[in-house]
Amino acid sequence: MSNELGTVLQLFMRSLETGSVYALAALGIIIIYRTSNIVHFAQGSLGMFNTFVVTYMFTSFRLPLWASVLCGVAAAVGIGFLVDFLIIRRAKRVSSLAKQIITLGLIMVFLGLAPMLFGVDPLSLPRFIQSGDIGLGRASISYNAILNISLGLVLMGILFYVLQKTKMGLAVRTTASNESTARLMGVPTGLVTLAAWALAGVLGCLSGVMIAPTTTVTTSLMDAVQVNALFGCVLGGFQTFYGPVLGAYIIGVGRNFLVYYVSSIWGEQIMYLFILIFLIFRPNGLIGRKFVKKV
Amino acid sequence: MVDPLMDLSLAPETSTRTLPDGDALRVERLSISFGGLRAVDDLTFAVREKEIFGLIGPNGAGKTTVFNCITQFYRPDEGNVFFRSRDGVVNLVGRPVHSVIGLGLVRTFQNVEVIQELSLLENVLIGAHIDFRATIFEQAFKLPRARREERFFRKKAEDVLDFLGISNRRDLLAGGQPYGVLKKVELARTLMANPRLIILDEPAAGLNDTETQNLTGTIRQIRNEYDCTILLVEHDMRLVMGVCDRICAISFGKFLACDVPGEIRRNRLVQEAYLGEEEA
Amino acid sequence: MNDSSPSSSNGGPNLAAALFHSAYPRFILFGLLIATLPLFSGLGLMKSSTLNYIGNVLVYAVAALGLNLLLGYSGLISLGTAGFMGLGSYIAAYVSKDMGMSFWAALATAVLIPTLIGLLIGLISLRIEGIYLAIATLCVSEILLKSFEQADSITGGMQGKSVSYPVLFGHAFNRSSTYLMLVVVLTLVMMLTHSFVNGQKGRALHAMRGSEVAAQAMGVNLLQYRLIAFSLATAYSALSGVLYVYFVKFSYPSVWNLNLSLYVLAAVVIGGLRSIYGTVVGTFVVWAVPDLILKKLPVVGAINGLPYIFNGLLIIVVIMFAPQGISGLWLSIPAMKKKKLPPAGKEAV
Repeated sequence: MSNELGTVLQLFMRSLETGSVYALAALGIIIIYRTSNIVHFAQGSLGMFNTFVVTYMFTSFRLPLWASVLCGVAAAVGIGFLVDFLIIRRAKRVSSLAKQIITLGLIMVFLGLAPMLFGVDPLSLPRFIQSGDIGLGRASISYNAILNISLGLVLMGILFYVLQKTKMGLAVRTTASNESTARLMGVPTGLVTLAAWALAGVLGCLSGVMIAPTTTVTTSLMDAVQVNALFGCVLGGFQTFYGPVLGAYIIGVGRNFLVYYVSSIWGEQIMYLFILIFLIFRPNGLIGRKFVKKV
Repeated sequence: MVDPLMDLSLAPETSTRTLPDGDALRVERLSISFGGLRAVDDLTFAVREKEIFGLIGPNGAGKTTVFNCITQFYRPDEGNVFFRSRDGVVNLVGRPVHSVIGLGLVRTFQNVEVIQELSLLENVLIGAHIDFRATIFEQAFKLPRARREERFFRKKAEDVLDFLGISNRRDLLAGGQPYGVLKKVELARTLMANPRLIILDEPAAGLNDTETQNLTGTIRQIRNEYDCTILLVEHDMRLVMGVCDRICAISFGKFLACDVPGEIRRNRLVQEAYLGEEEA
Repeated sequence: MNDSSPSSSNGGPNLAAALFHSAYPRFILFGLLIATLPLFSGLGLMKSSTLNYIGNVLVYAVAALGLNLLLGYSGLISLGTAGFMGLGSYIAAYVSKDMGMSFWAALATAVLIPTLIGLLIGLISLRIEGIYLAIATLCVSEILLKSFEQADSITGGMQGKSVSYPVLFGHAFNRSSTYLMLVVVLTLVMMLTHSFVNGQKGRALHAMRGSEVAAQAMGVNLLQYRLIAFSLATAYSALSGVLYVYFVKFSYPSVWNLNLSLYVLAAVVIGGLRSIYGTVVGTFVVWAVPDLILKKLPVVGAINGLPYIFNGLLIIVVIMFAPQGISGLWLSIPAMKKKKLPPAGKEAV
């Protein structure tokens, strides 16, 4: 009984950890979507690249992990600024479909940059807290997982506080609801999108640093994160900032439980099938309204 | 609402369940609400065959909503729409939108709905969509029947464009063409379907004075040469009074009067409805 | 392939005119042109590996044409291309290798089964729209991808699945003849697509994209045409997957990921929506330019990853400065020429 409970608890905590990774990435995607009207397919690739920066700083320059992460965050901010300044704001008149292709171009650029700068050999990144577990009956959860979960929650808590309660957040929300009106009202929308791209980069980098210790750092590091973050966005709906985060956690939890209790082979597919069926009944996600077209 | 001024013969007729001889369309006790607001309220009127019939009313009277209910873009809450199709009288209510044209009823739209990336001729050809018989395979492999059909309807579309005087532009893309031309393309598209009844939603909107004047002639010509009934909504009173045989006036979705243009002009209810609009 | 233009009986200048003004002969000419490439390779004028890259372009072009039917003509989006290509490739491999059936049986099953799934997506598309639809199709694709990884007994799991070159008309094909098969299939697909989109059904797709209300008023059944659009796009993807597995002789799960679907999407947008030749050119830009051109350049080609950076930048630049794609640029050339010419008459007042 207590073992069973322990297993559930352990599964749940592990799910929260994966969920945090997906949620951070999803938050990056939704911030870009709401401020620049682009579905950010390169969120994972940018995160992958910045995780390479962290890993490289750690292994080649022997910086402490926290300093390496700071370097990665700085790189993420810089790259975010560059992407917005050099490309996104110059592509205002490009159709919204073509804008998605820009992020695809970015994927290629960073898929090329990573091996060019950091070599083709897979690297590895250690966990923040190397060892130590909290026992939960027969199950246990690592301190590092708890750190990741809390980091994710705290980070998102701060972001949502800033979005809802501060003047800066108001500027972001106004830009998100109507960019041209916001500009007319004196909201510095250019600054908002600049900050959005930097922030999305940082979120991507952190999700990369969280997932890296579980695998090796290669160019495909973030493929699954990108896909699941996108699914989180449709599950939660593209109309709010918190919907995708919620969706991402649901996917993290749902996936792990299905894989453990239903089928280790088909669990993930069943999860995706559920998302599809859910979308058929709620075509705009959990928290989304339907727009009515006028003839 | 009982109105002593209303001529009894023009009052909403009671349900007969069928369409009397000589009527092309009969809207019967039609009602539809949007979020508590009654856009069309118990409306009844009939359009006679080969007639040019106008539906008028102040802004927001629900004219386009009536059209959308007739053509099944909206599903009315109550009421029937009887229509004399090629195969006898049918009730349109509840039929799929795309099946309406097959019965002989075609419409245009308030804001021209043409396909920018197609040529004018190709846009007009869409009007013949339901008359094609060749299968997808015959069309992909350009088998004889597909080629024959395509030739036949291209010729027909060219004739229609000729009839409307825009055949010199037939191979130009619709995107970038002047509004007046696009309105004619929409008209041409309806003519491709050999309609029994054409519904025109503000055919003069966006046209200049000369174009509007020519439109009167065009509408008459269409009725005479294509031998069909025309039902139109229009704001331009000169056009409506000039071209229509009979007019039905509505206000806030309710029936006001239905008569020949001269009588409608003199009708106190109609005058008040329009005056009310100007005062507001 | 050897059929010449239908109007050849007129001979002389008319034949030339027909070649340049009629669509079919031009497609055949285009096919003949790419069919001669192995000759260059045989004469040593072209590296043998180049043929592989070109062959890949031909394979992916089929999928890209399918996506163009969906995106360009019908205005519907899909990110499921990769999953259906993969499904086509695995079914073809399984039917021909494990079941020992003929190429034709493999081809038919490998196209039919994905097409049925495509029909289901068409049904879904009536409820889900825009970006939600795109990600829903990605969801289908991911379900397929995970299944490729897991269903070892059919797909070979992570080790992948191999097949040999096809046996057709009693001949065991080699690399060159398989390449020719790709050319023939692509040319046929281009011709059929051209006829289809310029006919009544194609115009109905246009109408559905341009104005749903006008399409409905003109009698276009939206459900029917969404089903047509999705099943065609899926059939093209599956066909492309079949061609892939017979040409590359291998199918790995890792090939059929989101990035592949995005590349196909990029090929369509870069080449130009609603342009058949443009789609093929766009496919060339996405798949062959980094390997065939950029890698050959001094400095650029020598550095690891640099060709891909350049290709990524190229894609971004094309999108920013030619949003209508390469075919849009091509079409605007005559317009530019016209502007340079002096005015023909003295009509100006």
